[in-house]
Amino acid sequence: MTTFKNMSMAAIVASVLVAAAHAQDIKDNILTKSGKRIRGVEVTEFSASAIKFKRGDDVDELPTTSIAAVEWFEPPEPLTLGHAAYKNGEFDNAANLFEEAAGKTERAVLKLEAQFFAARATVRAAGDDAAKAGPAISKLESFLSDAGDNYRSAEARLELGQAQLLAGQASDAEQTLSGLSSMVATQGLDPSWDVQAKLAIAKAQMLQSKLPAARSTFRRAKNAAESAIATATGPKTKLESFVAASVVGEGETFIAEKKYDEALRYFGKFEKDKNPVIAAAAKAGKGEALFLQADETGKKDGLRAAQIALAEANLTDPLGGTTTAKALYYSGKVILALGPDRESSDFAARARGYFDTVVKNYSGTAWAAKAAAEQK
Amino acid sequence: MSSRYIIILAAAAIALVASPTVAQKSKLAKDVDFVRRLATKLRFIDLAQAEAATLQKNNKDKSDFKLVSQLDIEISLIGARAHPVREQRRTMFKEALDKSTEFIDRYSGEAVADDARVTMVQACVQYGEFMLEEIEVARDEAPDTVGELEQRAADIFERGIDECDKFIKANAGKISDDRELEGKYYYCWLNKGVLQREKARAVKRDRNVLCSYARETFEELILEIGEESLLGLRGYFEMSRINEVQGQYRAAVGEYTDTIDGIVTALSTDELDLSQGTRDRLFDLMQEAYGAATQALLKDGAVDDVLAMCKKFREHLKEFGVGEDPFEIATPNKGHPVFLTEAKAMAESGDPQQVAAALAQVKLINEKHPNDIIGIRAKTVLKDVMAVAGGDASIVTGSTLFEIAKGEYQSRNYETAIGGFKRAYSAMTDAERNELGLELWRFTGRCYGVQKRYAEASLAFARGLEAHGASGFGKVDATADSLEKAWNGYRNACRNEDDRALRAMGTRINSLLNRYGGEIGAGKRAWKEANKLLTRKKYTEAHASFAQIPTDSPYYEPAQARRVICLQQLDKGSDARKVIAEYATYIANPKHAVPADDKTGQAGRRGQTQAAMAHLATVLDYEAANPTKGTKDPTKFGAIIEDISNFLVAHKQLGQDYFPRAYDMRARLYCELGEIVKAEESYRLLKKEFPANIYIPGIATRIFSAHRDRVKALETEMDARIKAGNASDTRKTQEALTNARRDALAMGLDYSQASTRPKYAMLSNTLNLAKDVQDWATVEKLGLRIDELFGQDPRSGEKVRKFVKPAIGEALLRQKRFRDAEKMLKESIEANPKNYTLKRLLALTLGGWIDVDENLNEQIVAGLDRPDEAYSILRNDYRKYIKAKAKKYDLQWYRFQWECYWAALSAKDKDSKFKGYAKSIYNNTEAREEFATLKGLGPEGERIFQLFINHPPF
Repeated sequence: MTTFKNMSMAAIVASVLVAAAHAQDIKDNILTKSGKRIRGVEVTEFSASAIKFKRGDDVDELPTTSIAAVEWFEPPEPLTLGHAAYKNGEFDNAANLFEEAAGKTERAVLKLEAQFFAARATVRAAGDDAAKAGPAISKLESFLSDAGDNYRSAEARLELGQAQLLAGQASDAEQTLSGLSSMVATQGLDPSWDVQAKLAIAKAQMLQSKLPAARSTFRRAKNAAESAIATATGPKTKLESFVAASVVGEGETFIAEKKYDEALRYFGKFEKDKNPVIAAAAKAGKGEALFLQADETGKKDGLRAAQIALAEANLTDPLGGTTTAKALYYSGKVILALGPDRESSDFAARARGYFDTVVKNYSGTAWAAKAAAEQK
Repeated sequence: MSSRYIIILAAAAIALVASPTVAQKSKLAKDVDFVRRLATKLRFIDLAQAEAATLQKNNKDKSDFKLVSQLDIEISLIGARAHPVREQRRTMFKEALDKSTEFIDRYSGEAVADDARVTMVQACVQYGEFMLEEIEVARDEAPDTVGELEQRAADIFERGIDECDKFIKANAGKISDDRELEGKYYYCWLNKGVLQREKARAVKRDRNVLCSYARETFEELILEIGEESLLGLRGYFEMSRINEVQGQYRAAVGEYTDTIDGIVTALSTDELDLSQGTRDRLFDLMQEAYGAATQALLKDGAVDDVLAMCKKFREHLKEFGVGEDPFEIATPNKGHPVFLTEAKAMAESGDPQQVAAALAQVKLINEKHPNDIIGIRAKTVLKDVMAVAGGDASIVTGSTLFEIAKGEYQSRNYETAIGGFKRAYSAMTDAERNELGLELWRFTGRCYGVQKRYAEASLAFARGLEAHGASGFGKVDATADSLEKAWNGYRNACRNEDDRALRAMGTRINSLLNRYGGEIGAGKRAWKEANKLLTRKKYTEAHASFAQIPTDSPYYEPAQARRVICLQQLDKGSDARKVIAEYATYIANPKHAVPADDKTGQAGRRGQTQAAMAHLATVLDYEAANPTKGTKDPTKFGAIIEDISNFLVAHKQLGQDYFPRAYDMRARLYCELGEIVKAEESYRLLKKEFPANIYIPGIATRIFSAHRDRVKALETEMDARIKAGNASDTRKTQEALTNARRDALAMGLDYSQASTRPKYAMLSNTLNLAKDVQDWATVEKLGLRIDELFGQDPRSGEKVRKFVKPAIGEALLRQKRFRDAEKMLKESIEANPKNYTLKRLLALTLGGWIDVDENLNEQIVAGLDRPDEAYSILRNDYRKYIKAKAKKYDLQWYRFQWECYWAALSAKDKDSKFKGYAKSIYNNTEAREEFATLKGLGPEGERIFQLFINHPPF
């Protein structure tokens, strides 16, 4: 019997040639929002309006708004590792890996994908540090310049607006985000981008202490989200979370003004809203306001009420997303504020438990970073 | 990959060859076979491992010990495959590989090493397979570890390939005459191809080259052995899989289909006359081929083709298998992967009905495969479907989401479960909420409770009861019970703070508990509340609370005993007896008999209550007959003692809690009756059975008191006899008195040891008794203890200085420790200059005395031999005390006389003036009546008389 050691060079060459003749076809998988999965196709283009793909000689396309995700065929290893690093909160590492991935693929569509993720990871890596926002802005602008009408462009614009906010370029941010809102209307993009743009503008206004303007923008964002829900055909979870974010945002403008009683009155109006998403968000907002009020004034009377409100928010938030993460985060903070005098001796461990849960289970929310800071 | 099939094939080949030689096997070989079957056939892995270890231990020196070592390796491998915990499986695989390596190295060159090589190949195949599964899991969960895992897998496959080569090379020329060896030979050849192929799967960069090697290996094998043979068919199938590794799915599917068609043809015809074993192996191979084919089609995106093939698969299962349900017919680890692929295809159609059917199928697979790779893949499919369709109630119902969330709860992923429960509730229809709502919130509450998030837990349980407590579905009592526990947990976490928000929450929760607490809940609450009141000595309120507990509550019977306690404390003895009588009537009623299948512990509770009632009845009788204040009724003592004794016997098992009190009462009643010995018996029993019990010092005090009463009675008698002039009658009384004092002293000392905080009076009385019986060592010890405990106490310090220190001094003196005595007495005198007793003792220390025993034998004690100083103290100082306190010619006066006389007599040699003093005292004492008065003063008087007589002045 011939072992591999005895195999002739010709045989080896032949096997390589055979392998070359059977070069692997690209077989991406496309997952639609309806749950349907289209397997074994090659995505050739993915613009803001449509995804184009082929199987053999057959070419087809679907509207971008119907697409949930694309599973790329044998992506470069750094892309997979980059996603893992991003999920673990290792944003700098993730950015480097994504850039490496962009360099390792010949596929234009995958290259753009990697570039976008690199830019986004750079934004996350900046955290709250304005000094680090600059590189993020550069990367995003570079991506937008290369990407043209790519389906990630809207998201990139949103990220750019937020990076500009971080860098203190509030008016630039407003311009970027307003531009995004306009694109939704003119280019028929997913309306959720408009909602997100408005939410980001409202945050920009908050940062500029234009609080009445921010309140108005939050209300417009809420209306936009509710309109989008009314016409949406697929799952509405994300849009519902935007409605909640708008309600919370408006309430937070009062907190920003340190008008805690007004914030409490505001949230109180929504605590019994028939939409459970809003009701839960309002309870979390109430808990936050009570905690911050106690923190500000030094009077800890309202902390127990805060604890209960946050527990209610945690329990009743049907989306299990940002509102739950926030409620968990502040639950931990409240326990620490109550301290050994008013909580049982294991209070520190219980508080830590809350923070750990946020970091582990809600890493995609902004509360994860805050919770991580409490763990140190 | 069908490694199990390969083992069976190889084992079958070996078995065929082995059977003629069975009779020639050694006993050890037979034992080894038996243990092997335990593991392989019966799957008793732990037992097999234990048996293998025993065989190893008992056969260390045997020549065929290698068989046992080899067995150990095989069982490690089987155990590795079967272990439910993946991490443990990895360790065990590695262990099997290491053991194999060690074995091969040790026995290299011997035939047994070849057998080990075959096992090693097997281990590499299975371990490598396991590593590929790990890689698959890691791609999703920890992609950064994938590289390392791939390298490890590649190393394992390479090792396996190497061993195959060695075996093949070593045995190429030997197989023609040895069927068993031939089987192993082809086994290694086949698996070499498999290992090469799987290495190609693991190592992307060399994939094509490695695939070529694998193909060459398989082709040569098939040519050698023939395509039509079972092994040839297997080889062809394994070779087909190379296409899949290279991503050539259509080509792979074509060859898989060829395999399936070939098997179907073979199974459909009777001409081949296949054995059942061969048919079974072909049936399994067919399922594997379907599994590979459907997977390849799915990867290729041909979803419709997948569903069509699965339809055919079901038909073939029913045609060639046994049973009606294809899922049940299929071999779990061969056929279920096909159903999983089918479910994935259905889910990916996007059609809501198909997605729902897919979910149901995946759940079924998940249930059948809780721990293996098929289960892991099923969970991944579930997760994927949920990610997209989870928000669409038309696809995924609320009840389905609830089941999925419960799965997360069972896997202890509490936060994920909570999210799932919330989503499930949101997705439920009204009908679903009505039926499942309470259970859903109960589970949610449990998830929070486990994480000690009691506020959230309380609110979850509360929510469940508020919304669905009256629905008629779900466990209302259990939820209410959980609510109570969570609420208590929260209040404890809040340190029972009085806060407005907490009060509001408490109102809400208590309202729910009152409504939904149920019979059991209400009774339990009343019991807890009543006991709190009892602890706070609010007997009236506690009694009222105990009386509220309903008869069907498990707390009803114990509550009746507590009622009696309350009434007893309120001095309502007759009401208490009424409750006891009512209870007796209650339990005598057949309606209230303990059921034969008592599962709630009612029999135990009843037994304890009966014991309590019996005890309480004796307590009531005791307190009525022997009150602390008021008139005692000794006529009833005997009956009460009997009742107590009966109680101690009858309720030995369940009445132990009441025994100390029972012993206490009995001992006291015996004391009242003067039966001190019996009282002491009760006391000793109490000490033995309940050491350090709180009743012990009290009983000791009472018995001591009884002893002292007896001592006093004898002292009175003694005095009377002395006064009556019956000196000869006093001896017996003296004896009795001394014994009584000793008994009392023993009890006093017992008390002193038993009590952690003894009373001064008791110790002091005990000290005096020790003095009376002249137990000077005890006097010293006890005296020092009293000084330590009470010397600095302002209430008793004075008494210590006045009475206890002199006693210590005397004790030192009487133990002839004169220097210590002198020091101590002088210090004490300095502190108490008016304490004449101390001065007398100092005089005795300085001048000595004469001890006289019962038989009137004398012993002169010289003291510090300073009788002149002693005389001076006695005549100049102590005399003042005698003049004030003693009467002339009483015992104290006579004793003083004697002590002065003796000091003078002892000092006469130092100074002649003392002669005169001695004579003068002698004459004064004799008083011209020859000491007649002295002689009449009892034994002590007699003693002093004899001293004078025995030591005349000259």
